[in-house]
Parts: sequence; structure tokens; C-alpha cells
Amino acid sequence: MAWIQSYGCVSAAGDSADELWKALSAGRPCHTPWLGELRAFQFQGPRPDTVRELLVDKLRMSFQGVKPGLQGRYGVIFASTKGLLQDFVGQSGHALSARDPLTPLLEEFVRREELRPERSVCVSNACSSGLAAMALSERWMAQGLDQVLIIAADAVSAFVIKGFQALKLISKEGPRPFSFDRDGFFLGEAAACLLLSREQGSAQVKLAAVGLDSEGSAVTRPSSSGESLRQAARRLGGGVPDLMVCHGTGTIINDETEDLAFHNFFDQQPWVTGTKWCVGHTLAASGLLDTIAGCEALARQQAFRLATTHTIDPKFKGRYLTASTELPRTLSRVMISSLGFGGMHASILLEPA
Amino acid sequence: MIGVNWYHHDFVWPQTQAPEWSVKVERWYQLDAAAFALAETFWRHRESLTSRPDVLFLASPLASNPTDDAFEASPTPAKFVHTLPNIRGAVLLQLMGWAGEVYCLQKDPQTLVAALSEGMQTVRSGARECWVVGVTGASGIFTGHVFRLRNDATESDQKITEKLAEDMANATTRDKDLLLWLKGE
Repeated sequence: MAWIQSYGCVSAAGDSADELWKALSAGRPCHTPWLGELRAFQFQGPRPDTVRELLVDKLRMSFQGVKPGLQGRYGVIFASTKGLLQDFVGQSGHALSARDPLTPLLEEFVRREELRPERSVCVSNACSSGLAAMALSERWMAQGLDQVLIIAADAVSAFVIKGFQALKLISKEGPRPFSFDRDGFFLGEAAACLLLSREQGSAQVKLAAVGLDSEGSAVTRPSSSGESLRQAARRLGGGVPDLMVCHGTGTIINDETEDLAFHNFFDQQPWVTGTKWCVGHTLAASGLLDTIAGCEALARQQAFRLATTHTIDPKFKGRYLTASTELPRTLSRVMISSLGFGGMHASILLEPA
Repeated sequence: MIGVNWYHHDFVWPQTQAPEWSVKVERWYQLDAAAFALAETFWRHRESLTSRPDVLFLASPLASNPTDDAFEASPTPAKFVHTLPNIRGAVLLQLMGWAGEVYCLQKDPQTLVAALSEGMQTVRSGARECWVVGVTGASGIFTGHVFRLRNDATESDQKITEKLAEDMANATTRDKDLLLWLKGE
């Protein structure tokens, strides 16, 4: 158990959590053209020459409102996947580079913000990296730290697009998670910060539980039975959410797995929603964006819809908040679910303070 | 008292013969060197590695740099998935027959040392057993590592246990220093 002291994010929706909330609650997708006919959910504004500069700048923007709360003995965890690779593409010798691509960014962020963390590391659990960082944060605080700052960022790059195109996971028409005619996702860019602490302080939201489960049955898809995803949720304990922010990529297999895993997992079916239709699949940053959306929903006592989804896949049994569903009036618990290649699954449960 | 055991295997990549465990893994021939190394190292020591961890730390020095380059040179879906450094752990988990809490960590030039530090602190704070696994090497010659850390020093390697405790207290130890010591150089 930990407390979410503060957070910030920069995404295609804008430069703050408030902008993210406005886009989600208004049902406004924020994608832009990218490389001509392709579309993606990109950061707004001018772009520096390298992805590292871009992500450090955006992380620092998202950190502005978070920094004043940093105190005591703290650690920093950077969650990311492949966005930074674009800096190395085409450069001979990347494979022989003496370092991984993520650690130099973490060091630069720490240096430019003049931070002095007791511990720091990069977590790269694919698209569940953000929630995995929360699980590691809980361990760090149990081992004595007062606070953990999680930073997460990824960028849309030609390298990443090429890979997901090879896997045929990029949507042609736009993401429609859990829809009968879904055909994948648009990639997105985001940078986000989340400050967790052992003491409540002025926190409005409690990270009531974190569950992590990894299994190796498949490399490019979640466990087909949904069991590992259920196991991650089981580790949350008994708390039943009334709203779930699902991973909801809009791919055939992801959405099938989440519906299978969760539709009868709880005694009472929670409402299911997601954020990727609005800001894209932001890879390692997606878990933090979903968490921020969950915190905002709790604080405002207002859910948000899968605004681009009009007709749910008839095979699905979950209770989805489509474009026309009436929103629930109160929220007491919000669950976030996250999946990643390599059988990575994670869930968290949020409650009001 | 924490006890540590180190299991390792040196090998040359690429491999031309099917490994003993090939029947247990779909399309083993599509694995990259790191995924192959973890699977092969575990398999060779499976009779010693009969227990299972509470938490597994997957140290990924150099992340997936060599596989990233291979994908750039010749993009295929099979290569793309291995450009995520956590993927190398998937086949290991299959062979272990285990699912649980896994963290894929990077902190070059101290990735292996940082993962071992996480493992030590996790055992000290109450876990029964942690594994730290990783692959080191380059230019076709690799070493797969499995470090088993337990809250029981029985049957552990006292020399390695003491060395790791010393290195964890010294924040400046780099992977290459630890590897040189482990190889007795």
C-alpha cells in the first residue's frame, strides 16, 4: 500500500493531466498525421534533434508540479521501451555500444533536475513497465525509502512503427477497443511522472494494491487463457473495483484476453473503459497515463467512455462504457490493467484517501 | 543470513544444433542469443535449480542492442519481438514451469550489479528466494548467469555470498569488475 502524492503528464492531449482528462471526458481522439498517410498520437510543439532530448524535455515538463512534493529518502525508476532506439537507428556500432539506451536518459533527467536519489534503475517490462515500476516502488518503500518517483516515457519512432506493422497491429481506421470491427491501435507518445510515498501527507488517492505476474507461454501475446492476467488481479486482494481502466489496445487478441480474464472474475461486473482510443498506445508510459486517468476519475467522481467504440464485439461479456453508455454516478475503486509482450501482466487498485 | 549460488554457462553464438530443450519451445531457432543463453543455462543446471523464486530479476546489460541492429538490417516480426529485452525471459519461464513477479532491469554499466543488489535487498526484506538472471558477452561469445539468492546460507557458495555483500555496499562496482572476479581473473 502506498499513496499517490502527485503526478503530471504530457501527451497528445496536451501538457497536463487536466488536458488529458478534458480529452478523455469530451470523447476527443487526439491523433495527428505522421509520416504522411500514417497517423499517430504525437506530442504537440517543436521537436528537438534527438529522442533523448525530446523525452527529457517532456519528462521535465510533466515533473514541474511533482517536484515540490519530493522529500526524505527517495528513489527514481525510469520505465520505457523502444522510443529511444530511434537515436541509434542507422548508426553503425549501436550493437557494440557499451550501454543500454535507457540509463543515459535517467541520468540526464536526474542531473538536470538536480535530484539525489538513494536508488535508481530502469524497468523495461514491455508495455506493462509503468505498473511494474509501481510494484518495484512498493518493494523499495518496504525496504526503507520514504518516496519513489516513477518517470515513464516513450516516443513514436520509425523503428517502433516498422515493428508493429510487421506484426500487423497498427489500425487502418483508428482504434476502436473492444469493438466488433477493431483492427489494432495507433501508436502514441507520452511522458509521465508519478510520486508515491509511504505516508499519506496531502495525497487524495491511495495505491491500495499492486499485482504483477509474468509467464512465458507466449512471446507476442498475453496468456491465451487469461490466467496470468487474472493472477495479477488476484494479487490485489479482495477489493472489487467499480471501474476498470483496461489495457484495451484494440487488437483482436488483447481485447479477447482481457474480456476472458475479467468478465466473470468479480462477483459484480465493473464498468470497463480505457484511454488508448484518445492518446494512442504509449507503450511503457501507458500504465502511468491510465493510472493518472484513474486518479482523475476518482477525484472528480466521473468515469469516461471508450468514445470511439459504438458496438461491442458480441462475443464479449464485460460491461463496457461505449460512446453511448450512461456513465456511473459514483466511483469507489478503480482498477488499472496492463499487459506486455513476453507474458507481462500487471494490475493496480486505486481508492480515494 | 543470505546464501548465494552462481550457475553459469559459456557458449558460442550462433548455435547450429537443436538444444535438448527444443521440443519444449516453439520455434526455438528464432530465439536471439540472450533468450537462448538463459534457456540453455537453466537447462544445464536444472538438477540443481529445483526450487523456484518469489521474485525474478532479469538483468539486461546492453538491453537488446545486438538484436535491434539485426532487426534494422532485416526487419521481421520474429526479430522485432526480441528487440524488447524482457522477451529473453519468456522461454526461461517456460522451461522453469513458473510464473510470477519478474522485473527486467537496466543500469549500464552496473546492470548485473544493480539486479543483484535488488535481489539481496528483496531477500533481506523477507523474500524466501530470489533469482537474478542475465546474459553477458559479445562478438559471438556469451555467458548465461543464474544467481540464486536465499534466506538460508546452507549449501550456498560462501565466497560469492561475501563478495556480493561487499559489492552491494560499494555503489561503484561495475559489471565488468564483478565478472572478472567471478571468472577468477
